[in-house]
Amino acid sequence: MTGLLPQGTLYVYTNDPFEIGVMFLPNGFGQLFTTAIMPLFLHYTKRPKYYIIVALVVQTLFNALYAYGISFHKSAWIAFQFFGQGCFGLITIVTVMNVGLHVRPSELGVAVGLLGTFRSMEAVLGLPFSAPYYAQLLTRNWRDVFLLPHRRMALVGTFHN
Amino acid sequence: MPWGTFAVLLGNLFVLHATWRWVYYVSVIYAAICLVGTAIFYFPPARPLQDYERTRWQQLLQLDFGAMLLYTGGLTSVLLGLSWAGSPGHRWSSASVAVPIVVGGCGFIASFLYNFTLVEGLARPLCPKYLLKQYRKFTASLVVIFVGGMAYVSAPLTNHKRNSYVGFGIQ
Repeated sequence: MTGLLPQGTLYVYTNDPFEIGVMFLPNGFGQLFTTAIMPLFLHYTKRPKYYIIVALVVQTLFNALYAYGISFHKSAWIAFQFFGQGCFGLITIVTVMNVGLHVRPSELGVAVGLLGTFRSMEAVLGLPFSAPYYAQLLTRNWRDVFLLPHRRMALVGTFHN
Repeated sequence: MPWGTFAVLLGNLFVLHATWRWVYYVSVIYAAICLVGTAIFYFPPARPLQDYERTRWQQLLQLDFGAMLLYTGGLTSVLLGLSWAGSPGHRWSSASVAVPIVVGGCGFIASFLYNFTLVEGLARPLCPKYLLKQYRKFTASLVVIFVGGMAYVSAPLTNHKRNSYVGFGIQ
């Protein structure tokens, strides 16, 4: 999403690079807040499980709300990114901390390495399927995507070329 | 990760007022500073595994090369098939799409089976079974970060060669 959201702003709202950067700032501050500030309170509250649950719910909700915000409401599109993207950093921090607390130090390298692998693997496997949906969402012809599977598949090539 | 706050703004300003190459120059400068700082200030334990009886060469040979080959090869093959699918000359039903996906998928699954069964006693398996058995301590976190990783979906889109899933898989 870090690459796709500015692209969405470019396609839908403005082609001014400076304005795209400014519109991305809430997204960046969301990640700053959840990766640098929220973990400061983690050892006071002592409930990492709830952090993960809340972060996943908020991320899912606001990723879905992007579909509403884009091209309908510019301010909402900017504000949703603060919540939708920020939670990803929190999930990463809390899961790595969780593993760091529970796994033996001798296994920690493999454990954290696997976390990184799975984080990226989901993305590389998900992209070819989700890209045509995003592409259609940006062009506002989403109805065709869901109704015509062969057209959806054909879009994979056009989106990436 | 927090330093990505101004990433898009700075990147676009580089493109406007300098050249896009500066995006990478800044990364190189930043990485060089980190490298020098690590070399000067970071002193990890020499033998975190406490295996003082083994030489460095023996440690290297303990790496799970078989699973590494199956994992990276399988994943790359699947991504190759998915990136070809739907493009001109590569229909979803064609062999050029089905074969890389099926063969790669089998290789990917085999990498885990290889870890779980064939080399149970290997010292450093790529994906240890005993680690995955710790469900609440480890595997649950793995599932969570797998789901949360959806935010990474568009990472390859920032690549200039957008249709190069092979390259991304290798990365």
